[in-house]
Amino acid sequence: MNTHGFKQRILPLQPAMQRMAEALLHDEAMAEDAVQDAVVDLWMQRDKLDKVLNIEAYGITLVKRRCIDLLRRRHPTQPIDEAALLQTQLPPDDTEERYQQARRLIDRLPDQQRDALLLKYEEAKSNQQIAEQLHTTPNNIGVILHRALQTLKKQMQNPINH
Amino acid sequence: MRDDFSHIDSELQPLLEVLRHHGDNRRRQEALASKIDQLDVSAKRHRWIWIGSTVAAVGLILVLIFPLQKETSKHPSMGLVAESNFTKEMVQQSVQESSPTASITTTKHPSRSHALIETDDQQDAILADTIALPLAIEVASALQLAEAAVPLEAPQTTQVFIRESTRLVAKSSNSSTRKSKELPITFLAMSSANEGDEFPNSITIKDFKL
Repeated sequence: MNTHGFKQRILPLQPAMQRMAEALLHDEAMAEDAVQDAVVDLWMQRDKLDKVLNIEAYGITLVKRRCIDLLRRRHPTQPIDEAALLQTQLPPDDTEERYQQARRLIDRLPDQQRDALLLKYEEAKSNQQIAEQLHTTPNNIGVILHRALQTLKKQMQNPINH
Repeated sequence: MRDDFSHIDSELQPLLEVLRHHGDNRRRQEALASKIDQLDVSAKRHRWIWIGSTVAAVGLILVLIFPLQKETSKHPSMGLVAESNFTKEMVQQSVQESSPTASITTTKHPSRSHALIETDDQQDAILADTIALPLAIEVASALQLAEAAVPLEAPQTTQVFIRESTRLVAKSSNSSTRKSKELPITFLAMSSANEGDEFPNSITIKDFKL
């Protein structure tokens, strides 16, 4: 499997792998590390991956094993029920649906409010960075964001009128 | 820059969490893609290092196998004189033409091969005067020197050995005095002198010194 093929097959698995890791570790940063380790493991085995029938299940199992390793390292003295952890089911995912709903509300905002809101909460940028990008001042960004949130709140409270 | 949303109305928090979650996942995927690119570059680099080391190792082995070729480059004054093929039969014929009493026989040896040139008397040591072929001249020349170094008491034998696959030496020994002398024959590069063979049927001489 070449690099392009690997990315195409493995990167879409990241959200599920992250979800599983967070369910086992209850720690977002550690879960991220576990997923990255699992992807490196997959990369090492890339020549054999074409033979794997269910690549998602394979990737999830690898993540579980990395999580168990991390838990052992974090709590070396505590016994770990490895079998139970390996049986953990992937939590259901409705994030994409919820994201689309949120975007429907946000896309109704004026352009500047929508852009500022997405840059702030989706892109995790600071007011200063947003101001540079939207060619205004950080103070003005604060005002724009405040208005955007107020409008969103009204839309959510009274969706029919909006 | 992560916002904790604590200052925002609780009604809006789930919506903003969804945005944040979506953004985080996209950034994680970008980080993973970057990591894969790094791994790819690293794997390619390792492949080239492996190829480079293999080529270097093969080169080193070639240099070790053909040390005499290396020597030629160190001593260009020796000069390239001729490139000829000599066979055992050609040498044998030349030796016999120049000295009817001389003979070349080949014998097998467990660890090395050698050609045995048996001489009955000192006259055979002047083979170099009459043999035309450069290989025979060189052999005879080395034989002369080797024999001169050992007291000439019959029976005397002088052998040509192949050393280290490619190097020829003339060894003269006297069974009664148990003395021997070994001198190199200064062919600088020869092929087809395989360990375990008899005297090579074909010796390619690229350079030699008279």
